[in-house]
Amino acid sequence: MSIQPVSETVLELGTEGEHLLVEGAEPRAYTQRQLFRRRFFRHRMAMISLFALAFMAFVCYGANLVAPYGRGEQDLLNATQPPSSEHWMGTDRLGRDYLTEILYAGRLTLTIGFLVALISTTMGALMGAVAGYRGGWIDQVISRITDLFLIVPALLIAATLLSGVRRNGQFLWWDVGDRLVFFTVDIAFAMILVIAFLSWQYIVRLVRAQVLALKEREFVEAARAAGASHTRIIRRHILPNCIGVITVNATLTIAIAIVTEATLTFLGFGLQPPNFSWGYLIYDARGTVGSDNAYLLYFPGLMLFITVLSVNFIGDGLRDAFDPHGKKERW
Amino acid sequence: MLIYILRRVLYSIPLLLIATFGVFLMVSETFDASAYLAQNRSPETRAAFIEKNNLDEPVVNRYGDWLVDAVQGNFGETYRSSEPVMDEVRPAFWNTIQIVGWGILISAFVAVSIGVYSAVRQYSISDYLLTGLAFVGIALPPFWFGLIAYHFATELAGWVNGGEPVLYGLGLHSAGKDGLNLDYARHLVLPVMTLTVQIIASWSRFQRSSMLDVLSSDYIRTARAKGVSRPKVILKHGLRNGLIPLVTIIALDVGALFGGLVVTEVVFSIPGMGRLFVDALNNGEANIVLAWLLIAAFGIILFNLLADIAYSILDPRIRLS
Repeated sequence: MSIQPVSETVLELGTEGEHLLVEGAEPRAYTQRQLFRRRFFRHRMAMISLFALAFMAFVCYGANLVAPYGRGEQDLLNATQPPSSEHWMGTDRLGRDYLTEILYAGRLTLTIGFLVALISTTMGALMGAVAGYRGGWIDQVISRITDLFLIVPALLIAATLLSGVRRNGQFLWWDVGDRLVFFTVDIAFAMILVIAFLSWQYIVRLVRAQVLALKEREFVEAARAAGASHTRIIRRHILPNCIGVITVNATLTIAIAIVTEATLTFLGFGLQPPNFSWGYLIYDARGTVGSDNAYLLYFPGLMLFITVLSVNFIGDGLRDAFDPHGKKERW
Repeated sequence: MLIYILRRVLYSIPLLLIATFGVFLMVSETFDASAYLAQNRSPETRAAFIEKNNLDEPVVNRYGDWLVDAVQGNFGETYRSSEPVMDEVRPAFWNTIQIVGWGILISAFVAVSIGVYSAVRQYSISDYLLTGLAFVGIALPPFWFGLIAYHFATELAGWVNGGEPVLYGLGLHSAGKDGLNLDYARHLVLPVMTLTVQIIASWSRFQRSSMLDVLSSDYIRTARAKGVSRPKVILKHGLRNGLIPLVTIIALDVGALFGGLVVTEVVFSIPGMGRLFVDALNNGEANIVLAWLLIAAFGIILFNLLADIAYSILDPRIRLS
């Protein structure tokens, strides 16, 4: 599976009875990176998903280029029109083109997903690496905290924290003796921090386990014997070998973060206009259940669903590509 | 065995204390109800409020007081109506237990059946279909799924029942009805579906892979070779061992279940714990939130404890290590 010749190997019997390979039929050596790329590109669903996600990101971030109407352009005479050739996803209550609204709303959804994955993965991978490499009481402390975060109802804690931000008019305050000092917080920013704060725990466990196994390996011992510092060993020898676990988990975190953001917003603890997301559009359309305007409910949810599905498939493809010996799902 | 259980219980107590202290700290920092008063009322009002609720004491002292009361079942009063918190929690808790109970039962049963079936028929068309459905189920945002399911139920009612609802999407009983009857079942279908779709999808994947591991092991082949029938090998030798990993997963997912509960109850207007929580957050009722999170923490730790015990009964090797 891992190494395959470029073309059919044809064996010819040489004059002295030795096996000779036809010109150009030597087994070609692949680098690790090439092997990874081949395996990933062969994962059909992952490839389709990669295109879907890239397309999604392109139309959302490039909404000012591709959106058929201007953002927030109202046409009250054409309010709540079902999908038609002029308005592919219909119009909302204020006659705004729904496709345009959805494309712009997607920006914040995707941004929150990517940033949360970036922050929580960096945080979690660092903590896991330190815990696994240093061991001792540092490992104990980090592992216990991780255990605690693994069982907390993350969505509820996030709702509690965000409602705290919301309740004070999106102010945070600091009690300085006799008076309160207020400062404003952007709710999207608060959401990124809160969701990241509640989703780093999975990666810690995985990286820690990986590092524990890696640090006993001969090449680490060799590096240490050659006088490499801890920083160098972690950077050059340990972390590159954890890249598979980290990348796969980061991908899945994007999916979790997007759904969490949408759920929190739907419950009323998240984003609000003018900066809203697909979750807010669903929240806004929740009253259309059972009416003819339920298309307002379908489309943002469908976008959410397609995005999360794509991200999950990409994660699946990455997992197979990084771990060729693991169990395979054929897609 | 008893010593093992005792050790696990003793380990849970500090965990519960740390968890509740963290929650108390978080709630008391973000629910500073006096911050409202500082912005737009007279200083005396705020001082009186702080005095009444002991907000000027250090957080550790307040936590101590709260914990001593909470252990005795007294979670304080609500800020707005000055009713005991437990009076609000009790009826809500009962409604919630019904949904969660049915939810866990149904999802465990369906997920295990799907997992075993997929594993036995690995790489068959139905296995691919179920795997695809699992991917869809995991990617479906539960709240959206609930709304869409509700919408389809109303459409369905329009086609087959002349507009009279077939499945209800509001509450647990119709007005004036009670008890375990068809009306109750028709109210339960949509919420339980919303609560379980994601759980079934992910549990069935775990069950499938653990079942595949078991079915390829030597003792299964031995059992088949000595003439035990195929269904018996699958169910008795295979399933019993294949269930072990799922026990841990179920325990770990209880926390996520609480989240799903909130969403379900909000979508279907069920007056349970989830709704209570959302309302408490919106109204700044710190005492309800605290009671709620304490109950949740207790439930989660209890489930983990039960899972560990069940695990050690199912797999005696665990106890020794």
